[in-house]
Amino acid sequence: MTHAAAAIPRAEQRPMLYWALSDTWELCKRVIIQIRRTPGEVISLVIMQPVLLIVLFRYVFGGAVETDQASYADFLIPGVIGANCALVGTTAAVSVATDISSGIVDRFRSLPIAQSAILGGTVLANTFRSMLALVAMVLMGVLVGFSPEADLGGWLAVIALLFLVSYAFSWLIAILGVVAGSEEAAWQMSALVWPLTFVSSAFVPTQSMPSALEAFAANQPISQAIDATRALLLGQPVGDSVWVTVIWCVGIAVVSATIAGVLFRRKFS
Amino acid sequence: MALLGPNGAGKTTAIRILTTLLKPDHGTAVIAGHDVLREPNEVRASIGLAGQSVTMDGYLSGLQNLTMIGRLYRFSRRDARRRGRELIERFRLADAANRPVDSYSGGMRRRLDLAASLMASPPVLFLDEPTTGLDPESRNTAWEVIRGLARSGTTVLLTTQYLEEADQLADTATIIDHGRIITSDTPTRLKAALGGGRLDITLTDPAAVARISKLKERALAVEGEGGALSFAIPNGDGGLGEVASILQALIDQGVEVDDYAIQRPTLEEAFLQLVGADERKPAVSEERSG
Repeated sequence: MTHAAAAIPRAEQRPMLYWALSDTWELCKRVIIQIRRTPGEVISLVIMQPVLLIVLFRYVFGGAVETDQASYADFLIPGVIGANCALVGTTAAVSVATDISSGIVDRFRSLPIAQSAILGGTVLANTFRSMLALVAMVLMGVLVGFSPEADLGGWLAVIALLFLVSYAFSWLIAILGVVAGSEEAAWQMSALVWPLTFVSSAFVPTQSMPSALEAFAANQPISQAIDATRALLLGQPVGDSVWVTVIWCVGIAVVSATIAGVLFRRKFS
Repeated sequence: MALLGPNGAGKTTAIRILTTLLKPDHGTAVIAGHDVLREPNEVRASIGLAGQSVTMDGYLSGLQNLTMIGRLYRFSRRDARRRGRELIERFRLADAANRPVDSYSGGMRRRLDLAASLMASPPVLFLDEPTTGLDPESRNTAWEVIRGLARSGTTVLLTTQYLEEADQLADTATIIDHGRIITSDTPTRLKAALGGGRLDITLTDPAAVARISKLKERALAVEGEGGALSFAIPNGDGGLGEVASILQALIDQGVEVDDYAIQRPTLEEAFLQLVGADERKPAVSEERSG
């Protein structure tokens, strides 16, 4: 190198795991900046959608639903919150598909980074986006009569749990983003999650469903997450739901991240 | 080094393989001492890439994009910012440093892309059609930068559709088409080989072609009906002799000539001729390995 070498920064020496996390964080920050620069999208997708669900179910269907809670709002709000953490994966799929089709993924793939960070950063950022929706839903919930009983510990547990749920489902649905390859296709494909969120304990008690459907609805991961959220927010006994949710989510995240990674690599070979 | 070829010749594919973006069907390549298949991350640490499409995040500012890329090259935060600022200024983007890239003009985006590929000052730089779609001023800036880099010891491999660009920038130009190397030489020699003239002759009596069968074999193209003949004329000293010998042959046979002219094809035409001639000629099948 010539005299200019002094001015060119050198790569720092750190363990591989540090770099995998650092790369993920840098690529996550990129998407967070995107979110900050597109307030309209945030309001319509992240906030309006769950808020509309709340209004729709609370006032249109709510009167017809019998639950074991003090009010339908107490039943519904934790349900919508939990269900939305699964739905939020949609935006992860769209981000991934948009990046793949725009060519920016080529830039990242030509850099000496942990290649897992390319999808991992987007998924992590999407998880933060989901937390934004969480805040909006709790505030809207309180407006429509939701009265949470949780103490600080309960709230922290809910936040940690839903962070994990959002992270896992963002990975799961990011697979569709890799497969779709274009923004529009990603939107359409990720509509596949909607039935999963409706056939759950989010909006009506699963006991009210036909027995075959009930068996599925009561045990699927989104219902487990919703049951855990509901119990934690209402200060009721959580039973196994928290641990079952954690195990489900860790499993979903690991398996989905692996599948997404394999499909992502295959896409370029 | 320049990689020349028409659209669809395989230039971008070659770059994608050499920059680890695409796995070759067979064979491999070695960049800066590292195998693209076995040590992709070592290769990635030694290269910079500015592709045909602009690969910056439109929502981030120019400086944010560069800082992020610096961090991804594992620079410290401060180094990444400093290097980013340095390149922003070098590429005359300082005024727009904090604006989202979506608001940049095409030329500005290309410059930012080039700046990004230089963040780590890589020993090997890949530029895929770096000047396609640029206005002449931006193109000249890009040329200056590329020349400067090559002078300071960076290996630059660029693809282009224009022989002129290869001539301006490269020590070696390799012409490819349909994924195969057609020829590889210094631009000057290529130009000499490609840029020779053409002697067009129209015979008064088309049937007279039969009398000059020997001469006919030397012709590039014979249009029987019109009695038109074309001959390749090499550049330089050989050219005059060639013209003289063709004309002498005609005179010796007593063939009357209606019209004659020496054509100087543009470099582009000559280049297209060579690429087009690919099917007729056995391709030079030399595999490149580094």
